[in-house]
Amino acid sequence: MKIINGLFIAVLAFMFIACSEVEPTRLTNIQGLLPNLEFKLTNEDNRTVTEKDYLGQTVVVFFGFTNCPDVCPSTLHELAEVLNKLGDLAEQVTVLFISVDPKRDSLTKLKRYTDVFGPAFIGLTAEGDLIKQMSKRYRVTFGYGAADNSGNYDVSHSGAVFVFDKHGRARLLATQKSSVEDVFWDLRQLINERAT
Amino acid sequence: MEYLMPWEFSPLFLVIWLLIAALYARILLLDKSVIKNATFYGRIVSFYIGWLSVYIVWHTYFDYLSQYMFWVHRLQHLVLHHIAPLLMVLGGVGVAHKIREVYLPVWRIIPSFIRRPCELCYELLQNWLVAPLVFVGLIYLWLWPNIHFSAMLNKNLYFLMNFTMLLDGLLFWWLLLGFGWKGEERGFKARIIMLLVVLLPQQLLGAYITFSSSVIYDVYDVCGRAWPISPMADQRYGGIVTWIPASMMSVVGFLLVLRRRLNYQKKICL
Repeated sequence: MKIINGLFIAVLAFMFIACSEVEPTRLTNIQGLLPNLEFKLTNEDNRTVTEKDYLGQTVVVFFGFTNCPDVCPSTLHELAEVLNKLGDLAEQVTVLFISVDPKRDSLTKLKRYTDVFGPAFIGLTAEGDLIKQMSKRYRVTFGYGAADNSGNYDVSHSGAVFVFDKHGRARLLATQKSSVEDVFWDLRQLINERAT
Repeated sequence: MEYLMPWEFSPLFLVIWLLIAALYARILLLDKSVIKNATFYGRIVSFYIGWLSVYIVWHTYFDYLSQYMFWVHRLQHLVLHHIAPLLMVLGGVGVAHKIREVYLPVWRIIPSFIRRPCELCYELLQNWLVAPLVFVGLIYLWLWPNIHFSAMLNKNLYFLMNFTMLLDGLLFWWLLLGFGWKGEERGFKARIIMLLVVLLPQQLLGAYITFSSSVIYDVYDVCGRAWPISPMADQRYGGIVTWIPASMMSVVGFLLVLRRRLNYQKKICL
């Protein structure tokens, strides 16, 4: 009897350890590496929003600008595709598109731009160096190129997509190389994750 | 002015660094017996140039560039691990006996359960077989792609990386040029071996990064670069910095060890 009891406890202990192990992810796992979601910015409806407004949602953050010729539209298209695949689960996801070019990205321009990709996409901007502070918190940077004759200039920015869980904890990082399938897979896993 | 402001203000670093400058200055003022010749001033200049260069690469706009450009990051580590500690040790060797005299009693006040482990660690790191392995090992460790990725993303890990590089740099160059030579004959051979041990792995790693045909460190793509530059060019420059100036520092080390040897032999002949 004692042996059976012992075995039972051992099996339970094993199950406990197995459960507490971090599930392998296809994207880069950044749990514990980056700080929790925290910001105070203006949304495209000219309302001040903070991270608290998105608690309970799985939040996807991307830094870009509406004049971006390639990286931003392709990333947002891919994210839209992922949300499409997620079906009903997509309701639990918000994509925050944070403008790194507030000078040119007006609120109306931002709204028009993000609406193309779907209702889950929200453009955020800010005055002064708030954006710089926000990007610094996530250790990404951006810079401006020299303006041409018609005032257009290039913006160098990060191609990373950060994913925060329902509690605002940094969890996943997708890069330009990540496939739609992998983002979908990990995002679904994260949304379905039981509350801890 | 903007370029002099720290990108990430670190009170811990600032306190430690100011304290070191102050403690060194205090030793200079205390040592009244010293002859104020060119060597004396040379030491002070050497120490403070080293001290200042660490401050510049760690606590100014330079640190921002190091976080967002691989080759600047390599340059930062060249200063933190090779050049600045060497200059500081060269400045400190002449007054080392005085430092020991003044600060050893202070050190002895610390309770032994804290002091002893520190002393044991110090002894281990100052072992002539361990020190070169730690010196090269740290370079490899922080350049291991996964670890490098995490270190560049996490603020605390990043601090730890720079801190360990600087501390190890000071310990290594101190062992190489400090006064702890156990027997001039054996000490000389051990030091030549140490320099050889650190030379080759650094060259191999530098050459590997320089000639790699793919991007090894993608964290700079993820976080964005400080200014537009192709990832391969950035990596190649970084590889060259790891390879050539770092090996040159070993040559400088050789010359300094040889100079010490010659001075010693001259002394014997007299």
